[in-house]
Amino acid sequence: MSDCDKFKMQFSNYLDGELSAFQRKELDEHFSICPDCSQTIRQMKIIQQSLRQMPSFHTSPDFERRLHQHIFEPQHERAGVFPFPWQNWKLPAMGSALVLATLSLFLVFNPTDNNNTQISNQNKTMVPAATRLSGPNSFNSFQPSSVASGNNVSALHSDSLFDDSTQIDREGIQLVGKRK
Amino acid sequence: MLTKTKTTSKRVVTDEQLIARFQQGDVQAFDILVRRYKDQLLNYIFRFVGNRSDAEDIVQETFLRVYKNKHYYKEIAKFSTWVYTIAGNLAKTELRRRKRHKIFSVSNFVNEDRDFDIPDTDHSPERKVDGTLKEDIIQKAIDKLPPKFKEVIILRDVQGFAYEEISQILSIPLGTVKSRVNRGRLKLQEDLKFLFESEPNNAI
Repeated sequence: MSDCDKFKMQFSNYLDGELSAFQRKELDEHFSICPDCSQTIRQMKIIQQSLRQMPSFHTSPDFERRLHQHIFEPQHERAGVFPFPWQNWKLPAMGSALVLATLSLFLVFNPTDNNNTQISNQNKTMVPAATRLSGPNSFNSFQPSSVASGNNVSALHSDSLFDDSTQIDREGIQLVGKRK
Repeated sequence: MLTKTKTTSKRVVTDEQLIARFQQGDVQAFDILVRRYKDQLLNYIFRFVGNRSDAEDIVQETFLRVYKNKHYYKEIAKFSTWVYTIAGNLAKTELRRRKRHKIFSVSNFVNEDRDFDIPDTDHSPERKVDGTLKEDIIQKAIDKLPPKFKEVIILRDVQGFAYEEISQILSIPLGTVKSRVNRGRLKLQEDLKFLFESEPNNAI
């Protein structure tokens, strides 16, 4: 540690007048021969004076009224740096509600159900036609999952598929059989 | 004359007597404490967090906690020590929250990354920087200090607390306070020396 570093540890005590007469004289002698330390202590003193003269601020005129409101009306929602903890959950909760609402709408107006309704109400030849187009998965609401997942592409046109579809609409199968 | 006597008698009541009265249910005593400390706490917290609105919210929260936890105060400490400890802890929590949310943005104008130049309109050796600008620069240099240096510098050099009371407020040894004040002042000098480099060397 250089002399300067050693003396720098005492700069605050020097400014605060907390050094003994001997220590103060020692530092003064150092300042007389070291321009860097001399400039540093001079600038530290100016900064210290500037800090003491920093302007003061006053609280806003309604500070006490707001404080009373916080104290006597704890339900009053406080904005700012100390929000209520549940405020952090507002956004996720709203997001979840939106997802649930979307899901509900989807279930109410489910296109698969509509198709099935239409199919049952319209010409029944549509049922096997749909089967041919979209494969066994289009019936997954009616079939056991093992059946749906067990069929591969080559099985699309197999008789077993039509056998499965007979569970849904036997009359439609008969029509397909006729077409075939 | 009567008013003056009344004012004098009011000032005789110490903070510790007021908090004792408040602990016994005298809410007016709490209001007097609020009036005594709201502005100085605002200035302490404002210098700490650098934002007026946040500082006022923190001072509100400080008094709210004093109100709710009045029975935690014991007369072994000064009321000022207690209330400054609460406010300082809340300010540090706020700084940590800002750091987490990455909204704490301090311009690195000091050292090599200064984001503006000091206008050089006066070429005389006694060039003076405009007062308001200088205050802003000093405040930004305070903002840039690490919290452990910032809090001691504000308490000692802005608020004028004795080292012993700073030691009690922050619950750290007296020697640590003095050491941090010294290092904080040296850091400020390093960051702000460009402001004073051309001033005559006769201040000491």
